[in-house]
Amino acid sequence: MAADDCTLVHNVLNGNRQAFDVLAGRYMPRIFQLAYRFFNSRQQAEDIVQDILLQAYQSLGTYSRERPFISWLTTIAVRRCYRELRLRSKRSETALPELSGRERECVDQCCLHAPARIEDPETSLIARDITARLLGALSPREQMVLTLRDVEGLSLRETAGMMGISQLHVKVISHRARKHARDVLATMMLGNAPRTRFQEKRS
Amino acid sequence: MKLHCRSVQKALESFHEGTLPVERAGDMQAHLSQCPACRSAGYRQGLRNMLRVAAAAPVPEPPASFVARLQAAVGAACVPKPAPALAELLARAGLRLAPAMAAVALLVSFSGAWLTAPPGEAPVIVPAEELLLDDHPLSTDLMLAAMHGETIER
Repeated sequence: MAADDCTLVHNVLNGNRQAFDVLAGRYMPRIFQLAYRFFNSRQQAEDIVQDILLQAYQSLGTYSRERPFISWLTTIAVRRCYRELRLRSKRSETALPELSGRERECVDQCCLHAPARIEDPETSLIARDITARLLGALSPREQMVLTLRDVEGLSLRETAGMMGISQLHVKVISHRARKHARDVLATMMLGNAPRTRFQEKRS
Repeated sequence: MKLHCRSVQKALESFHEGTLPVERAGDMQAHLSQCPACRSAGYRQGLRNMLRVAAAAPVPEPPASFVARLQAAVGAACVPKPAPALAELLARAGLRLAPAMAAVALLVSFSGAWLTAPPGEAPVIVPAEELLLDDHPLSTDLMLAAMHGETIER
C-alpha cells in the first residue's frame, strides 16, 4: 500500500530523501500543469517546477499535517509563479499581439458561435495560445487571479488562500481583470472599437 | 428573423452558455456576423467561453528526463530540518520581543477605550466589503466603496 503524504514528509525529515521523490512524483504533474498555464512554455514550466519542488523540499519542516500536502505545495507554486510573472512584467512592455487568420477564426468560433460548435481539439489549442497572449497584456496580479479562477476553476476561498490576500481583494481583482481582458480581446479583434452605450452600462 | 441590437446584446450570455433555442441562436449568429457593435459586445461577453475552451486544451506531459533532473537537483540540496518548536523560537527571540509586546499592550488599551465609548445615533449601515462577500450584485460604486473601506446603507 502506498504511504500517505504525512508519513512521507516524516520520512524525509528523518533523512530519507527518496521519500521526497515519491511525493514529487505524485504531485509534480499537477504543479507542472499549473506552471504551464501561466507561462505556456514547456521549458519555462520545467524551470519553475524545479524551483518550486526545491523550495518545498527545503522548507518541508514548516509543513503542517492539518493541511493537505497538495494545498501546501500549490500555495508555494502559486506564489513562485506570481514572483516570476512580476519579474517578467518589469523586464518587458508587451505590445498587443497580432492575430493570424486562423487565430481570428478561432476567436470568432469561441465568441460568436454557440458553444456546441467548439469541440475541436485544434481550436482549444489555438484558444490556449491566444489566451496566454491575452493574459500577457494584463498585470501579474490580474493574470494570476484570472488563471486561477477562470482557467483552473479554483474557488474564491482557495484563490485568496493561495495568493495570501483577502477574498474581497480577489473579487475586486477578478472583476477588474475580466473587464481588462474583455477590452484587450475586443481591441485585438476590432482595433479601438467604440463601445455602445448599452455595453458601457452593462460592464 | 430581424433582431435588434439591444435584444442581441441582452441575450449574449444565454447564447454563450448554449441555453438559447437553436433557431434563435442561429438568428443571433447571423446578426453577429453582420453588426460591428454587436460583434464587439460578442467578443467582450465571449471571454468566458474563450477561457473555457482554452482550459480544455491538454497540457503536455513533462519529459522523463525532467524527473531525473529534478531528483539530481533535490539530491544536491541541503537536507530539510523539522521546524523548531514555539518555545525554542521564543527563547531565540529573547528580549527582542519586549518592545513589540509593549506596543501591542498600548494599542489594546487604546482600542478598549474606544470600544467602550457610548455609541452615537448612527444609521443602520454595513461595510461595503460585507455586501461584496454576500454575493451582492456588483456595481462600480460598491466596488469603489469596498476598495476604500467605506460603509454603505444596505
